[in-house]
Amino acid sequence: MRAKGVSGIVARQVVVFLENRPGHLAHVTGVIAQEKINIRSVTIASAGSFGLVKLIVDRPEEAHEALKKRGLSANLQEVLALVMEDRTGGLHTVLETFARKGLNVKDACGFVEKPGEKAILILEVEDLDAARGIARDAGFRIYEEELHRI
Amino acid sequence: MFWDKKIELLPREDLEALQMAMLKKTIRAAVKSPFYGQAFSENGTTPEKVKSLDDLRRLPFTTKQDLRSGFPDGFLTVDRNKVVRMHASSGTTGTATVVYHSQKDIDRWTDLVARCLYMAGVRPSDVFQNMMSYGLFTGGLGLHYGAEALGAMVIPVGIGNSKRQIAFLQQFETTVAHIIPSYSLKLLETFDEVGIDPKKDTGLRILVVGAEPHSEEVRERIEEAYGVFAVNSYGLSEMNGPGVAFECPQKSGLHLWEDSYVLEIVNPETLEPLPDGEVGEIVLTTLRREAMPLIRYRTRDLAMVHPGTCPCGRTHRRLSRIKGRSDDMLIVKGVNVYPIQVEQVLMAFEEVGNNYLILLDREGPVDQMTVRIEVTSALLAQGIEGLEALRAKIIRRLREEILFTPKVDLVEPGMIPAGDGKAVRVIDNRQPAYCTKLRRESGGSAEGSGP
Repeated sequence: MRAKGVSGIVARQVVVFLENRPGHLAHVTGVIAQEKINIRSVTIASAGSFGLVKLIVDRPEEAHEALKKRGLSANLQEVLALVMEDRTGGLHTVLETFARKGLNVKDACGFVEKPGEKAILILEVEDLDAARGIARDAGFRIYEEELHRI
Repeated sequence: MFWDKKIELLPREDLEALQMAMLKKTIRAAVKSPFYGQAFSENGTTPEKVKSLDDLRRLPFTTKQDLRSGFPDGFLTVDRNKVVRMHASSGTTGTATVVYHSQKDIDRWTDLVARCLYMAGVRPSDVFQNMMSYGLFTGGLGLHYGAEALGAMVIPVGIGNSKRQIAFLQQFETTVAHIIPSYSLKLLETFDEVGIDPKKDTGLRILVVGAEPHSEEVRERIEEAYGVFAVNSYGLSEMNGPGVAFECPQKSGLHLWEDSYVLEIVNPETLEPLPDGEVGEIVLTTLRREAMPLIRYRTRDLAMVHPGTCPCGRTHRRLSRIKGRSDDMLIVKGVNVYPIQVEQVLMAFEEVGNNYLILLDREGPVDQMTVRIEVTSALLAQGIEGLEALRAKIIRRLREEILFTPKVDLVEPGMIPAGDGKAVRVIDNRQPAYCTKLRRESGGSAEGSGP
């Protein structure tokens, strides 16, 4: 495995605040579809009456702008994106490495890029720079450019 | 029928002559207080210049703010030694307002409350359970003294402890209770829980409901559930407290005791007098208060005078239910809340944006206050735990400030209606639409008052 540098581009997820009510999530996905932005992954952290929708998209900046323009509370958040092999134990290898280094993972999601070959792991961590360092040292591929350009 | 037959039935002409005589006395006394001494000299008024009730209109108004600026002794006209009691407004915002009473004041106040209760049908044989808070709040002690003077047996149980309330109602065969309307509805849940029917299993026949504005619909519900006459009471601490105006069994307005107060209804914007039948702000002048007379006090309560005479024969004019308030004080769960208190708490949180909304609803019989706060983009960085923690912190701080626990909803931007010009900060869904309209027109945004 080869380590890949950040080269000025960082992975970002779009975080949107939503009230937990019918139609609100559809409103968000509608806005993004209208902008012809592709959603790679969606997760929701819910706290009863409201939640945070986390979106990995191909053009996060544009998605963020579009959502804000429509009056939604949206934020861009830097995350760590790693390329993994889509195989048994792949995620475990990464998490074990972070655990050994005492790095706490706040939130995570993943999606398969090419079944049986490539998966992308998105990690929200407290110290992003440290996480990148650990990932690099461990030889993981940090996969920002590819992620957003697909 | 009558506690004070002569006064209650006094022909209008005689009543107005009595008012005039008392007014002159009041003004002569008031001028001795630092506040009125100065106010009259600035206004160019001397007691001699007030020769008719119309002349009263030339005198300046007294406002709540004046009472605050005069805190504590600016309105006192007698030596402190003559004062036997004080009552104070909740004073949760800024300075409290204090009202002093001499022994004569207490006696007259007590007599007015007894007159009210007697008019409503309370008799010496009654057992009177006073389910109101005692203390600085005038409702508790005011009704206590009045009922006692009337000769009823008073149970000074105070507010809360629903099961004990119900036990007392049964054990002492209570026939009359004084209760906050919303609490009377809440108490029904406890009645249900313990399997007692207030209508069949208690001897209650009259509920004095005060301290909280309430609709005719609520009265009907109370009357239906308890099988009682629910009598509406109006008063405010600045005017003693309860005993200012009270319903007679005709239920067509509250007789305001004009031998003790001069009643004016004015347009809250122009301050011009309004005729009977038109809703405006209640302005009151005390006629029989010794220690601390108040002249043309702006109550901020909105109501009208029912035109015509009452079939009961009393000549004292009848006030409608309180339609709202011309300023912004809210009464939620019987507690006075100013939107500014909520604002202060919210604005103390850096993370909270400028947009918020106070929503007042009735959930079943109980007032519910919900504070809506817009979540700004900047807040999202804290994640879901951060938002939850912030919400909890805001609730805690609000509770400390307003003394009950509101709901706090985090909402998307734009979910709070932005007013053009002055922002709408309070939406009160507890009142009939008519009152909302009235409040909007009067530029205020809130709720009524009680003793």
